Amino acid sequence: MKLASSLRWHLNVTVLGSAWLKWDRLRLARKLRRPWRHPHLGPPLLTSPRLKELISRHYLRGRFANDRYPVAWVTSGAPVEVLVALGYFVIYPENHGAVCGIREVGDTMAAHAEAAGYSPDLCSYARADIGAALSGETPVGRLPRPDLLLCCTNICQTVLYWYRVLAEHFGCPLVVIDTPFVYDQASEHAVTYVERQIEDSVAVCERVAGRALDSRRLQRVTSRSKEAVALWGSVLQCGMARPTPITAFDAFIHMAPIVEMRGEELTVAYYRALLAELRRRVDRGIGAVKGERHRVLWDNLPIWHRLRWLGELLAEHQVAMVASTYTNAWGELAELIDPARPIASAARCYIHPILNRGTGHKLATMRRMVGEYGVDGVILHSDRSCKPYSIGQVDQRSRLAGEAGVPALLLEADHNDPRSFSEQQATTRLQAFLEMLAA
Amino acid sequence: MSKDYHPMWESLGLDLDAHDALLDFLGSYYADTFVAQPNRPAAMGYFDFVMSEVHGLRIEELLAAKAEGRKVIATFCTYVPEELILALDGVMVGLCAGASFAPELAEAVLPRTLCPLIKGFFGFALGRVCPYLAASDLVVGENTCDGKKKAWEIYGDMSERMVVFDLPQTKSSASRALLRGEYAAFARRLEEATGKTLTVAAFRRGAAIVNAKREALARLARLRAADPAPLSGLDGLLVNQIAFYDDPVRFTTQVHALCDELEQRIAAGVGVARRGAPRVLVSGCPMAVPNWKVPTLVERAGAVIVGEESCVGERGQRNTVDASADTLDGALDALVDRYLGIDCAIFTPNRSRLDHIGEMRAAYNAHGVLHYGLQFCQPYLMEAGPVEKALEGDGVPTLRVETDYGQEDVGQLQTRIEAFIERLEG
Repeated sequence: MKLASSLRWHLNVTVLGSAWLKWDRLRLARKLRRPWRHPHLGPPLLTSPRLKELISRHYLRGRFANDRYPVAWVTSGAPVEVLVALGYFVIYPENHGAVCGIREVGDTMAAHAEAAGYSPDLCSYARADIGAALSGETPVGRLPRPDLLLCCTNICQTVLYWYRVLAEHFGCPLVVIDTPFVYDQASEHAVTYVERQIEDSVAVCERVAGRALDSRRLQRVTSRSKEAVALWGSVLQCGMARPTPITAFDAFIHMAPIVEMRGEELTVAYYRALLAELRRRVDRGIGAVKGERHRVLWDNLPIWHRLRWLGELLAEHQVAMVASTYTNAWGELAELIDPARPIASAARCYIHPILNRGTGHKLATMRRMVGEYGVDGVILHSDRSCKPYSIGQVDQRSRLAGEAGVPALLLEADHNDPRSFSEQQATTRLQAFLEMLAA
Repeated sequence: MSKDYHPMWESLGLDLDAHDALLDFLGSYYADTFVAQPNRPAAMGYFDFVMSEVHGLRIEELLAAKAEGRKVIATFCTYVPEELILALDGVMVGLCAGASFAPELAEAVLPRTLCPLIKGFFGFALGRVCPYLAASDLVVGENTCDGKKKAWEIYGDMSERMVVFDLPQTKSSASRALLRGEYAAFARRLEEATGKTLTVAAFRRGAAIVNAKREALARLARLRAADPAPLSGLDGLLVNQIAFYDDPVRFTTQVHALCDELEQRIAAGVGVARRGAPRVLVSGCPMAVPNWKVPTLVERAGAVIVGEESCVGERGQRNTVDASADTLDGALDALVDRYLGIDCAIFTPNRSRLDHIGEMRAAYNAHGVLHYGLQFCQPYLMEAGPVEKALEGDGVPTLRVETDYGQEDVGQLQTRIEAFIERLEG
């Protein structure tokens, strides 16, 4: 059986899969060398085919991962380094949810969950993922069955219930890392609480993996995480240049490795290449939006099912969305990661993401970004599915507009469910906002 | 109301016109919902009186307590340890959040798609119609859910009285340490506000008062197991709601008086519904005053509610605190033991909640369970499916209801509830 599964892995992943993905990358790279004719958007990033290969390879490995690795499904903000050091293959259901959204099947997946009785008012990522688990359908071919679930509450509380449903469905252990909410400073007993939970989780992760955690390997993985996070932060900072070589729409796509492949060498190598390309573009004055006239900041998750539509609408008006608080969240905590103290520093790092902090912190972050990126306006996506991100936006919009003098628009939508989005209504509001920017 | 309280309300800064309109509505709603019920126990007269004076005499009492130097501590949730507040000579009261008031003001600072309880609080606060909030010295928020975590911060920007503590979402030795740290910090904050020092003797005194209240409510809950039911579900809910507002010692006495009368009724075979009437256990989100929509529909359809697996009900009030601690550390441990036993849906895993629903159903001879979820309340909505599946798997008819504070869905709910009760009778 082991021999058969090993052969299956090598044939499908190492030999055929790798060859096909490499061929596809080269084909796309050739295509990108052709003259670029889009009327509003600048030429696409040349590293894009490499990103596609990286992510496709990840999901291809995922299809056959149960034959070869212990598999963990984890939340996007979870302290994943212990799992990577233990050799787990890691899947992020939120990323899979985003893939469903981009492929415009988010509502189809959600409908499976709703048919099973889950409320349509629940997060559309959760519904898409639960729907995929219940139906076995996915646009990525096949997701590996989890041996372990790791859920960290630093992005929202919904993940707790979502993962409980997954644990019941798959019958596998669920590890919860609960992160107390941080208003100003995290209390020491709150950090200790998180640290103890990460320490306690190691035994479960080791048992399921069938191997002991090597502390030097954990340090190496943590070091790669830190480097990747820092590189991602530098990638995003390229958006401060005028014209910006990268928009938030690009960043929404290129953030996939930092979310689902932290701690891996390939991720570090990829972001080095992306950063090098962006710096070349900055030097040469190549903009992501032709004739960039205005610059905006985005707050909240993207509207995955309308990424292209919104990107082109803004570009048509020569507006570049130069940054977002969402992508920034994965690049701002590198300094808290200490490879010499991997678990203690993970506790401090993973308690501090923007979603686990107060609305005042987000407002301060937005004000800082408005200045650093030189933006003319802010679009706050009031996301029906993401309460932690959306609560406080009404006040944030007023303060940005009133105190900072930056025009700000509140746009109601849902990150993954197109049924909660009116394109016509959004267009009307966006056009009025763009006219205000142009005035 | 026994007298004109307008000067008092004006001194509290209430919007008098809006407040009058609210009381007019509540008065008639209460009379139609409660007073019109047939065959009520005479002892419910006290609770009717409390409700008639809930914005009057009780507020006057709070202001009198403040004049004596006591602090009024306003709360939302059953995780706030009343024992500590009483130990430091404070008065604990619940806040207004059970109706949609001034939603346009709430939605000026909150998303539309947020749970009605949080929006209800903001509506009452921004509409200036909650005298409890106006009379309070501290407002205590607890981080049970995502909505509350950020809502407290928004309200904190409007009022310096806001105090927030965190709650773990798992149950382990690490969680105990976290909650203990939060309660210790909360006790220090109360000491600062009251100018008093927490002592073991004071803790014991506070714990004894709250334990007595909870024992009275437990006695009342047990009596509702009788068939015919001696008390309507609406009145049972009302008593649990008033537990958040009334003076705890007086309330305890009156609950026992009600229980004494119910024992006589049970002995005489007197009930509020016929013997053998369909019996329903309500489980799920809390129902704060004046959220009586669903229980009214259930009982008007011919069933009787025999228990509430809810924070405004048995989940929030069961179990007492060990008041025998002889050190302050021991007192904090005793509080953590008791409060970490509340099986709110915020916890993962939360098997004990399902077990408790099963225990209540058996203890109160319920024929079916109505799972009540407030729209956009992710913790309870996510648990609703597994709860229904488990109960139906055990052969217990279960109805899942998801609603808000509006009246628009009453017709639809009525049809579903009537069909459910027919199923129980069948």
